[in-house]
Amino acid sequence: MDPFARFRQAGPDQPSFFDSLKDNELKSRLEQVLGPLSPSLFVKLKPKAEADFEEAVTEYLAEEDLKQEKKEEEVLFVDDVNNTHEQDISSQLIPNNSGSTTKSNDSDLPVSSSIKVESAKVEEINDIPYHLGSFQADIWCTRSGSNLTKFGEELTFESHDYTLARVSNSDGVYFARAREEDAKYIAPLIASNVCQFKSTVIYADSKLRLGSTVFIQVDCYLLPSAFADNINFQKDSNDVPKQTKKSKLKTFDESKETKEEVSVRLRQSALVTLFEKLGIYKSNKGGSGLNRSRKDTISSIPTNKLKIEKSDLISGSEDSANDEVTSEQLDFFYKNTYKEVEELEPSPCFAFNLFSYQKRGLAWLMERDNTVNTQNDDLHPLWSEMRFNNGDLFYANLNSGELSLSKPTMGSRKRGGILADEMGLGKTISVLALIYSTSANTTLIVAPMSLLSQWESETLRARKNPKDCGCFVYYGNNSNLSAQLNEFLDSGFDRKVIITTYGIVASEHKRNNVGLFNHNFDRIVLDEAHMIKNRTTQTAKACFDLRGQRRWAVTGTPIVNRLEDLYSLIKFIGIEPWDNFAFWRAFIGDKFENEETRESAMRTVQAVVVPICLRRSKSMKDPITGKNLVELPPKTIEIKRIRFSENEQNLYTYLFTRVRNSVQSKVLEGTASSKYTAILALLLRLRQVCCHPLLLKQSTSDKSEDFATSQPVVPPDAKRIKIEKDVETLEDLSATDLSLDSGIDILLEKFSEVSSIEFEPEAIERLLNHALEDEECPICSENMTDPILTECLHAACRDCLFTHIEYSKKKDSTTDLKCHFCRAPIDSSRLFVVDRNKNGISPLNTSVQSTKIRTLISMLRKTTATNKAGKAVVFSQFTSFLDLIQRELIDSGFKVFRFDGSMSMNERNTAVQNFKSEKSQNAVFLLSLKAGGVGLNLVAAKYAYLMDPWWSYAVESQAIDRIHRMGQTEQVQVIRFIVENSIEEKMLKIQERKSALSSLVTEEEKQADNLENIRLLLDLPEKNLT
Amino acid sequence: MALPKRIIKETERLVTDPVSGIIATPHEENLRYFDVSLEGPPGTPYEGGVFKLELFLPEDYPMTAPRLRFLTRIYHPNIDRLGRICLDVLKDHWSPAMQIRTILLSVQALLSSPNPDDPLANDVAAIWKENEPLAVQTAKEWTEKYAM
Repeated sequence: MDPFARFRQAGPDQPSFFDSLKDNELKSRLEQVLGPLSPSLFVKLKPKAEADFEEAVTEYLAEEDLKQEKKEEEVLFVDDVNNTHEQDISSQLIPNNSGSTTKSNDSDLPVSSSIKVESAKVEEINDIPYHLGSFQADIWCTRSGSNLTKFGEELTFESHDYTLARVSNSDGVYFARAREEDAKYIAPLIASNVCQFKSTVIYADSKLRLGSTVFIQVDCYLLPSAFADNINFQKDSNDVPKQTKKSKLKTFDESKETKEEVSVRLRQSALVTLFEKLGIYKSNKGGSGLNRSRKDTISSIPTNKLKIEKSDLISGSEDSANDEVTSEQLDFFYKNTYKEVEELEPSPCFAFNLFSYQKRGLAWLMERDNTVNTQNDDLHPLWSEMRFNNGDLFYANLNSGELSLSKPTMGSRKRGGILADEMGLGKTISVLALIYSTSANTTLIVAPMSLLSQWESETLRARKNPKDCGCFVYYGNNSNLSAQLNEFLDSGFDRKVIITTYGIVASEHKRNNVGLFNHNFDRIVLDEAHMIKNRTTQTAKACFDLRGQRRWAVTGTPIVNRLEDLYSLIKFIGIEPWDNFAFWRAFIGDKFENEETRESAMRTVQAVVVPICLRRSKSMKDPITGKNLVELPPKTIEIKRIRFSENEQNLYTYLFTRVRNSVQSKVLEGTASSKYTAILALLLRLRQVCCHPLLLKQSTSDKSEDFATSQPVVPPDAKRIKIEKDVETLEDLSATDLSLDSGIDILLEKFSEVSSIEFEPEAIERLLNHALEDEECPICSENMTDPILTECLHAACRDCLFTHIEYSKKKDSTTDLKCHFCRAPIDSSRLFVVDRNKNGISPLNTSVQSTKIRTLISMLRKTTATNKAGKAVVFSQFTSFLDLIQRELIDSGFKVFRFDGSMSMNERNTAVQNFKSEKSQNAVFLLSLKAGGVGLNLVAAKYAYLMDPWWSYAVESQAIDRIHRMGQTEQVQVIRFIVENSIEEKMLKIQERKSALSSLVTEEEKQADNLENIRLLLDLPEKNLT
Repeated sequence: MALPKRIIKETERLVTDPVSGIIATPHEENLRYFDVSLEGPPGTPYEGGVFKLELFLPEDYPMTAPRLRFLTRIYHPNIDRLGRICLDVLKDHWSPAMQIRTILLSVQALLSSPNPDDPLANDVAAIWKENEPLAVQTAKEWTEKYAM
């Protein structure tokens, strides 16, 4: 192809001819030279251009240049520190090279001397093997004149802004610029000091006009500074000086893409383009070829940008990512995180015996705790091997635009890691073994408040000699805390363990980094580290800023439900470069969201996680013995389906109809998705009725607590809806607050109605005179336990009579309920007990007992009566429900303990301790699912009752593991209460659907699925929601 | 499933305190299954006959009634040719306070007072209503033929 064809086509311009041109022709001519023009700009330029095209353009370009320089002075894209650093490196090799890249405020002045030196040096560069290759290009003149350039002259490209590449001749006169498509990669590479483009004129007219084309050959060289390890990712490390931290956090969290990140992004895409233009392909085999990775990278960039803009619109929300992780994917991540290492005996001063797998775990922990750089010879998965023109190798990360002369490996540079053993494998013991077996002096343990005392007691129990280890609980309102900590750190213990809570860390961080932040610990351990899974929370930020050399994240669930959860842990440990969120997002988060690139994202994550993470699961087999790592006694989980009493059923049906209508009307209005929170509030009401109708009457404060608990049903997107609709939601809530409804009031009254009947005095006398307990129950033929009376005064065991009532209703709901004994019609709400205190017969308080509570009590009774007696734990997500249960259980003679979010740490500890040490087998521990469902060790109990289902089974399973974990010696029995034909049954279905749900990708799909769930819950017809 | 205490007690009592004219013995391999012999009440066409019945206590006994069926053929308006019995206490009027003993007594009583107005065996009931002596005669014959 004739390289000059285009030049001829363009042809010399004829100024006189322009007068007759129409506007659009003028505009297209202008655009040919100046690039795309906005209409306003065109209007501005038009009069001048009509008069004198060349002058207009020259003037405009001069103006623009001036503006550009001003801007550069203000901005200087790459910050000063960075820049000087780069120059230090580059100037060692190429003295005075800096003239072309920085400090060009007086760029219109000829700087011939320096240019000459530079061109001399360029020859030298040829000797060093950084020559990438050459290509031909044409540039556009931006001014007219003769002798601006000539064949063979060397030209200099210059750029400061990543978009514009200007060209100066050897006199330093700017006379041309690169065509836009070339500038796209030339400009960023110059501006970021990656490349030098040595250009030689191949052809130029002696007299150049504006818009004329000059043909040049471009030789590309990588500058030494391109290999400098100063790419901006690293700037966000944990060791930033304090004064810059504020600003760092700001850019990190609020503006999704900082200027540095933009520059990195441009640099990356420029490099990829340049490599392709020069035909440089990766020379290593395996992995994805350049074409593919280029496809990945290029395509990832626009979406990345789009996404960032999108999420910027929603201020304060970071939850746009659809990176929920399915269980199969989790399995994939955890694959290979089980390490085959030799057993290591803990230090002799450690008092506990370890299982074999724990000893192997200790070996791994020790290794990660000590090594600063575990060398691994494999090429880092994100890097590719490339060749220079002369065949020498270099390495490029086409994902980040980083370059390196030495082979980048996966070596993880930070001490610490993630101990992610499954619950119950003794993570606490493992960490303690590590603490006792190393010489590192100070260890800071951050744990949820409920585990504080457990850590303390275990730490102290693990020592043989008091001098071996000291333990200080850094918690409380004591103003002396900080002084005491200093004192403790000065003490003579061989090892010092400081235990604190996430709350303390967050609050000290907020108060300008007082207390703990004044110390640099030898080791930091975050227990239940998924507490920081949301990187934007105060707690997470605070933990990131804690100073310590060895950083351990301990959690059974490093990924709770989203991939980003893992990011927080990596950020805490400081695994570079993944601890930079932009980096993570661009190369893992975004790719994971995209179906096509998900697999490669997963592989990347695995490559990142494997060296730093240890996870064993209970089901793993010991490689030597072939047995399970931990043999836990079996557990049985039974779903106990119960049926509403008549009054409960009426109330539920009424409420259900109302809720259903309300939701349906919202759906018809098309506001269902925006009123999502309000709908949830309605659903909450239904769930409460399943537990106990009186929960409807609870005070508003109570309600809000419960409501806060119910949030996680709506994963990310709905949370955002909540933020957007906050005000509206509050209104909705009060408008739809069903507890004020008169119909419900009537039904509630009926539910709590206490009927009174006059009995014959003789009958009362007779009943008082002998103990019913000594009589045989007509139903079970045993002595009556907890006898109750019908209104015809026939007695039976409470359980027997209620079973009879239940059976009668099941058999035929139309016939009246009859006395089990005389077949007289009776009413199930009018049952009585002999009350010796009152010397009479009192109504059985069915009103306060919901069916659920009644069933619970009868089951508890049954188990305590048998030889399989054992303590029980009872979980509910409604603390107000726990209140009711508590009252009933105490009345029924159970020994009740309580644990919920409203209790202080001391109260909680006491409760746990008391429950553990309680000898009586009829001890019942009531826990709120939220506060007590994680971390606690309650192996003292054998029975677990889950009073109400949660949206995801994982949470319930966590709660079950409180009693089914290491240390449990007996068979564990779990009962999950579900009310038949109620919303609870539907929730079970949703739990089953959950795993399918998490694979949904787009916001729309998620929203659709949330609506689908509501449809399922309320039996709404399918059509309505679409 | 373990045998409820109530069934054990009832079985014991059927032995220690038997009802005259009724013998109920549980099968050894299934203690919920009883062989029942019922003597025809005196002064009825069934007098002198010994009727075999089978009795089964379902899983949810005593919340639901026992299953009871004549094995010996009997000519009775409330008992069909398959031996099924139409008796209110075996159905709607069952109450958990009733026992094997009481239910067998009810059957004995049913033999004494047939109720052709609420029949199970329609042909028998028709004859019973149209021509009672003939019916009684047939009942006697059947008793002799099958139950002696």
